[in-house]
Amino acid sequence: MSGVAGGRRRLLAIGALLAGGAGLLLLLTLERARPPLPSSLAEPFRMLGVPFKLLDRLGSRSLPLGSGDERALGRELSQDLALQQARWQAQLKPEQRRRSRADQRYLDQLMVELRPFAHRPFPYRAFLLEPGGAANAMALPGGVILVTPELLAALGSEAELVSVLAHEIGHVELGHCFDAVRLRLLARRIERERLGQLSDALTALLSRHTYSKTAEHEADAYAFALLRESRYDPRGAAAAFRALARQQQNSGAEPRSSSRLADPLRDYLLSHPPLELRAAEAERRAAGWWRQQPHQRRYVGRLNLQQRQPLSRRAWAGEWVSAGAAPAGPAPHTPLPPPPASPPRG
Amino acid sequence: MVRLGELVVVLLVMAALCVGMLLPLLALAFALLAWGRSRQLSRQLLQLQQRLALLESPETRRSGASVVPEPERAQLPPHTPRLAQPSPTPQTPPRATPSTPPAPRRQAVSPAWRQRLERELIEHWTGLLGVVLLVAGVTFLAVNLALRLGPLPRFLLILAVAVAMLLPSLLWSAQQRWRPLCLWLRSGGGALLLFACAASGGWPQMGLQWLHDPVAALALLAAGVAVNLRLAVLSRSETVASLHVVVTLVPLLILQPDAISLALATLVTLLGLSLPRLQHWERHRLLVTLAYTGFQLSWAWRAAAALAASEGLRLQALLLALAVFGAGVLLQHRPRLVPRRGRPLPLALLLGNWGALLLSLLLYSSGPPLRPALLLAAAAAAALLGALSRRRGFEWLRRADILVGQGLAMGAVLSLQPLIVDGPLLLFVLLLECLAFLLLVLREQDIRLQRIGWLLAGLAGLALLLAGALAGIDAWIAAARLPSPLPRGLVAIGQPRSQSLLVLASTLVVLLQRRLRKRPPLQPLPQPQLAGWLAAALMAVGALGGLPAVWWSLEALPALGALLLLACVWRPPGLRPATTVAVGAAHGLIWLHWWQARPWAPLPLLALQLLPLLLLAALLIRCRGRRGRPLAILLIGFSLTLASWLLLSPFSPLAPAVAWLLFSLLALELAGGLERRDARMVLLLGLLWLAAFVPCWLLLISQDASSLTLLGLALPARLLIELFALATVLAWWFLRPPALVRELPLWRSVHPWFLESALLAVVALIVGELGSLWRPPAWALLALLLLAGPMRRWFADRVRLYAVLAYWLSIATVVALLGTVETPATPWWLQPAAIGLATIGLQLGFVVASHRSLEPQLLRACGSLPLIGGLGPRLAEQRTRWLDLPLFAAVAWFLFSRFDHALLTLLWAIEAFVIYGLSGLLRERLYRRLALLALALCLLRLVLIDMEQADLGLRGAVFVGVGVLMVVMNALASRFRERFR
Repeated sequence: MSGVAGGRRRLLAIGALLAGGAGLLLLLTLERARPPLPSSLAEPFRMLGVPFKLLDRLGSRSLPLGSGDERALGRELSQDLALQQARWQAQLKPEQRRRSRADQRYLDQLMVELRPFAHRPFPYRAFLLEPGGAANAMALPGGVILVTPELLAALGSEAELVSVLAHEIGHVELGHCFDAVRLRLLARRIERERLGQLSDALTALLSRHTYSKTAEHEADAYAFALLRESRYDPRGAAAAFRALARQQQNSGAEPRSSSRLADPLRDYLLSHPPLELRAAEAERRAAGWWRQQPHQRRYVGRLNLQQRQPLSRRAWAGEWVSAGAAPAGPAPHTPLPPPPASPPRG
Repeated sequence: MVRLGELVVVLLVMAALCVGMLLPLLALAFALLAWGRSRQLSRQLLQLQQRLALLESPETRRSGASVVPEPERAQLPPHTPRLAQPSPTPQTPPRATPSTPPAPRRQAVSPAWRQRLERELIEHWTGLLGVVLLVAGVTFLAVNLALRLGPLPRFLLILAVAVAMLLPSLLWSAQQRWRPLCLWLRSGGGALLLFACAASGGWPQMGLQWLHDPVAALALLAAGVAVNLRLAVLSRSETVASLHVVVTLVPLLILQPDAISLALATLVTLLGLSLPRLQHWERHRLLVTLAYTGFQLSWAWRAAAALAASEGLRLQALLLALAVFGAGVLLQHRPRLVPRRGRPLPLALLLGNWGALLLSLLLYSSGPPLRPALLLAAAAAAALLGALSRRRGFEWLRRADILVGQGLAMGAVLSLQPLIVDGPLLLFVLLLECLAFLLLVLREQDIRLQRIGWLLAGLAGLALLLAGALAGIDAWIAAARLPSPLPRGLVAIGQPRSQSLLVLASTLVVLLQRRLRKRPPLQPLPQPQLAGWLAAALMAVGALGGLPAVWWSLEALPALGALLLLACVWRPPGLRPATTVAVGAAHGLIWLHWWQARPWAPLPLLALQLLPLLLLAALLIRCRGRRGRPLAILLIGFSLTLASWLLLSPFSPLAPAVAWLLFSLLALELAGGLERRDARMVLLLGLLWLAAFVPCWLLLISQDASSLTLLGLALPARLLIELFALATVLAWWFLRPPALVRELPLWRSVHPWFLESALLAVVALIVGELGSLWRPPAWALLALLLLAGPMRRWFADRVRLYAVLAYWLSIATVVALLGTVETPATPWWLQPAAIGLATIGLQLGFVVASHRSLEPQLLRACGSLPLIGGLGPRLAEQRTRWLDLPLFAAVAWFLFSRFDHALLTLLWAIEAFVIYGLSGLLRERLYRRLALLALALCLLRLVLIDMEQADLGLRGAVFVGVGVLMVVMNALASRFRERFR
């Protein structure tokens, strides 16, 4: 009897599994689900980087360093960057100088809006770099963020710019910048800063490719969380990645996504996950959020970016969007949600 | 005219040469004698020393003294006992012996070796080297003197030397003692004369040309040739005679490459072959034939331009070659010159003549139709000669003639190449010829000929197979629209014709096998199964050659199926396994074709490609029964794999992986109802399907971010697929097949790893699907889950070790992540501090549960991977150190890094309190001590730091908090006194 019952249970289990699998197969086929790239190993390498990043973080935790050290370094970097900026802005033509200063002012205003989301004790500030580079942004220890003017030109809306700035803030908040300069900070204490810089560079050269994609993924998640908490459209992150991908493809730096096949060495050596993957992931997150918040209205800010006026200064009615993704008209009775209060700091 | 002064110089040179040759020889002889004498004296000295050594008394030897001086001792051979050194014994180790220190010994050996080397150099090598140098110097002087002379004096000088060399044979050849030397000198003189004559008329590079009239030069050369031929005839030695004739041909090479020089060489060769004494010497004839062949090749190479321009010259050269080699062949068939039994030399002579004839035909005939006709005529002549030899009873000669005839016939077929530019067709004709030859010799009952015919047919078939394969490759390249690297003509002109030829050839080979099976030869032919393999390969290549065509399957299936049926009905040797392999290869190639020609529309793929392949595999099962079934199952499995990929990936690249998981489940279920061999193959297929999911996941699924909508719910496709994969792995673990399958080595070796595979899948799920903040509680939860009682029953004991690993991972992530990273999220449950505290709660739960579940005896018995195999015993011995203390330290760190330092004392005190509580709960004395120590430190911090830094309110709160904690601890201790003792 028990054998028969066992056989029946077995049949039932395997039947259920086969039915489930067949259903899944049907769903996949009907909905034509396909990954962003024809094939890629970037995601497995990103996952493989998780334990290495954990070890890297444990290494950072084992050093007798704190936020104060990072903050001091950030202050020095800020001073240097401000001096450099004043120098290269003085060499610009008056019209260019005026535009550059407007850009910097715009960034400063945006950072004022974003600063409350950050919890680490740094004076976050974004610096505009000299024109002539690629569209890019980067974070330095102590809350220093660098933005190229080409990035402002490449992006399409303020929500996209905020997502990029949030990504860079994420690097600082998640300790990636500290991990990159920890030996330098340690060496500063014994007045051997160069030695520390060299050690950091060597460490980065040897091990950074292993977990840099992991760090980027974490910063992307942070940026999405920040967008979610802000008044901006969470789809801004995906749009920013798509804009950057377009810009890279136009400049010939990246192959077209349709011809991009997996290459173990290339995918391992990538410092960032491919933009297509990041865009798809950001889209998935944003779509999930919009499904959960179907009545929310969020701000895109194309005109804000064009006119270098942040949302805190001016809100255009046509820039509010709802779950349908199309820009909607203003919600006259819906007051603008206030920026979140800064949570208690540790 | 020769001047007197020049004659004097000639005489002086001759004298110098004589002196120069004699003196060094004398010196060399003297030096050799002296060296030999010296070695003899050395040997004698050594013998004397050995004798002296043997006369030594044992006492003297033991005392370490020696009468032989140290240098001489060093010269003794290795086996000579060391007289001065007592052999070391355990009681008297060598280091303790002051009389034999090692360093002086080493110093003593080195000078002796050097002395010996010096002596060797001085006594022997200086003399030898001096002689060599002397000879070299004298030679240089003589050459220098000779170069000062004009051509004629040089000619005369050489002539004089030649005559001088000839003279002894006239004077002393009668004396037996000097006869060989005189004859050798005579031959050398003849050769020298010939070269002098040749150089006088047409060899300016030698500096001897003094005749500029061609007729006179030719006459002089003819004189030299005549002398040498005469000497050859006079010679009693075969070798000397051959050398004379061969050497006679060499100066003819310097003449203009025209018909006259070739005719002269031919005449010399004919004379050299046919003169009465010479024609009996087979080795001589062989050497002369080879020399003439070489001459012909050299002549043809030099006269290539003239030969290309003049048909008449080619014909003359061909006739002359035919005269020599034909004469050679006919001479060999003269009954009085044919040995009764075949020996290597006559055979080599015969083959040499026929080979040279073939070469001449190839060289001088201008291609088809003349060349094939001539080769065919030569083949017929060889066959006739073979018949003649058979009548005369020369069996070896008959066999050789038949083989030569076959070779020439093959050459005739191959020389049709300009007419038949289609490589496979030409080789097919060759195969036909070889098969005809084989059938002919099969009647003759000559086993050797039969074997050769068998071999030739096989080689022709192999060549046809190769050409067909190249044609197939060419067709594939053309289908891929790439430039073909293969030359036209080597491959087929018309692809379908090439396929048909190969199929026809395969059929002929099968029919031959059938004939051999019906009427077997006297002795079995070697490796009869090779014909089966050849037939199958020809059929496979023929059938697969048209693969790029869409309708290939419908053409190839009947061909391969028919061969399979023939193999199973007639059962010729080797055909059945070969056809099985061919069917496998057909599957492989069509899979490749599928891959290259993707994407496919569903109907052509299913109806025209997959169905025929499945039918072929089914036919394999039908025809080969139990033997063919595993392979057929494998082929069906791979066909399904690839077809599912090609069918589903255009819709969704993620779908094939799910299909393979389904196939894997089906295989698991099917394996239970099959025979052992089939079950093993099905099981293997199932495992391969499961393994194929991994690369799919790595390359495709892991990067996917799409969602599937089901009943209004949006579900992430990646997560669903991963969960299904995990369920499949768990099904392989839980749904165990019947005992027959469970006893298979494959199952027994693979099945235990499904636990690790499932855990790996869970880890991948956590890492891939959860954000970094949620991983620490996930690890802690996993650790708790793995520690649960049913898990050990369902899985294995070692699952607890993995629980410990997950627990450690959660601790590490709490320290590394939750202590420092931030989030912009505002809800309190999304804050790292809250998540961290929840994780710590789970970890505490693990610690408590581990005290009940991780019994030391169970931990010791845990078997697992080699890397963590030693973990169980270690944990069993020091569980507290490995499980509990890391948690307490991690919590302390987490509190330190996450919370305000003003509250730190209170928080640590709470931690100490919890530890204290645990000490009561788990009856761990160590915890209690630890908690008390921590509390003491908290108090110290309270006094030293908080009193100074914290504001008054906070300070108070901390004081209160710590105080309350201590009170509660006291209360607990009082309430549960027994537990805390």
